[in-house]
Amino acid sequence: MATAGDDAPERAFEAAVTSDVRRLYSLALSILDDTGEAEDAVQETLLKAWRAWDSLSQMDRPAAWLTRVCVNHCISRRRMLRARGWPMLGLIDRAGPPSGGSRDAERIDMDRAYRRLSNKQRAAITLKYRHGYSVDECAVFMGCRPGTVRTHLERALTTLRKELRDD
Amino acid sequence: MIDIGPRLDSRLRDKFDRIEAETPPPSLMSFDPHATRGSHRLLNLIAGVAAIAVVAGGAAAFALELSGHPHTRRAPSLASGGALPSMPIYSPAPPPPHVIAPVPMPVYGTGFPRSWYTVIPVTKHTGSGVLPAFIPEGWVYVQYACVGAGHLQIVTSDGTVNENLKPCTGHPVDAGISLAYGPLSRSPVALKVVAGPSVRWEIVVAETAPPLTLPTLPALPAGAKVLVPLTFGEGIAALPSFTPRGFNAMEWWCSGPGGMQVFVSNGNSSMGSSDCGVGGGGGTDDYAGKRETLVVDVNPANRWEIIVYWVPGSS
Repeated sequence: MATAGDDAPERAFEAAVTSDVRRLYSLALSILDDTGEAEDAVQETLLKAWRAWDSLSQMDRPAAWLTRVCVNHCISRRRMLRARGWPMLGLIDRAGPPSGGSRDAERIDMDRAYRRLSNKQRAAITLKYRHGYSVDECAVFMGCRPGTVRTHLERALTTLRKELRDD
Repeated sequence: MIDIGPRLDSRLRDKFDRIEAETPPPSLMSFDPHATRGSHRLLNLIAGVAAIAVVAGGAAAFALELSGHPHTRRAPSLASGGALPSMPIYSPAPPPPHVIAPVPMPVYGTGFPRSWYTVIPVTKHTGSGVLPAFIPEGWVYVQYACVGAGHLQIVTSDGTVNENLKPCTGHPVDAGISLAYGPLSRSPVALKVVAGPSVRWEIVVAETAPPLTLPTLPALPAGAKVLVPLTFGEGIAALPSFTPRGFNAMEWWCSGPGGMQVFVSNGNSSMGSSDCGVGGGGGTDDYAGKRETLVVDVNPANRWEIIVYWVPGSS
């Protein structure tokens, strides 16, 4: 039979990680570009955090630990074959300029170009340009050398520029 | 420092803003470590068993399909880049049976993917009428609008099709797309539209016939190496085996109702899916390892095309 004392670790865990869920989900979604996979990745991260809660609760920066686990989960496991539908070309051709005008078209182009990146490239781009981490910090999160992060960044930007004809 | 440039920076920011606007699913916001772990294992188990069962069943169904129709049905064309069958010939559409007063009906064709083709152009009529006969090769859809009391009923003489469409109103209704009819037999069919004597209607009939010319897939990225060349098929089929090199990607398109799923034949990896007849699709798979075979699973009458490639240096 559960007592109030049994729930204490759960409550402490929830209080500590709830504020990070949205951030982790956005991070995972940025890397995986798939809501279902992002949900799985964050769940796995939270499970690992729960299992390691005894030591995690003593850490000064549990958020950094969560970020590293989440990033590693996103880039290390074999990614499942994923569906990614194209825009309905026929409809777009027929419909004429959408209400959003060129902005919608740019977003479609960007989404398509972003899908050309590998998970590691997306992780590097997200950590560096969205979260503002240095290359060295990105390397820690991604579990690789700083030079490798730079390579991922350069290749990702090259791909994006080529796909977006943004030379 | 790597220069990102203002234009790309702006577009990346917009992309990340959209991602961050996504709300996490409720299951994450109320995370229960005890409940999650059990369901996760169970889901994995169910997914694994289901994937293996579907692949095995699909292969069996494909074998049965081939052995059951050795002389009357074309085998799926798996030759890479092979020519698709020629287009079917339809009976010409006669002029509309009645010329009715112009009403502000919707623009037809909206909602029909470009790959479908019109078998009966827009036909206007008042009251019941029979549409020109045609030879169906696949799944048939109608788009319609009507003015007046009651509704339209679509029937065929053999009863294969018998559907009541949405009620008409006093003003033009939105042009609705019906349910899919079929697959109809490959013999002439005439759709009859049953309506009240004062009901004015307009209708257009399109179909996703199997021997249609599938649209051109997107161009591969620069430097891409083809693992499975452009392959056409019909129904369930296994693709030529290949050795995954890392960042493997695929693009596909399929016709007809339902979705398309792609499995790794060893059951270790799952699938991608999309709505056939609506848009193309594709998937990516970060994996380098042993030689493997992909299996395409679609409805037996659906035609598809697929290409698998990898981009050196992507991962």
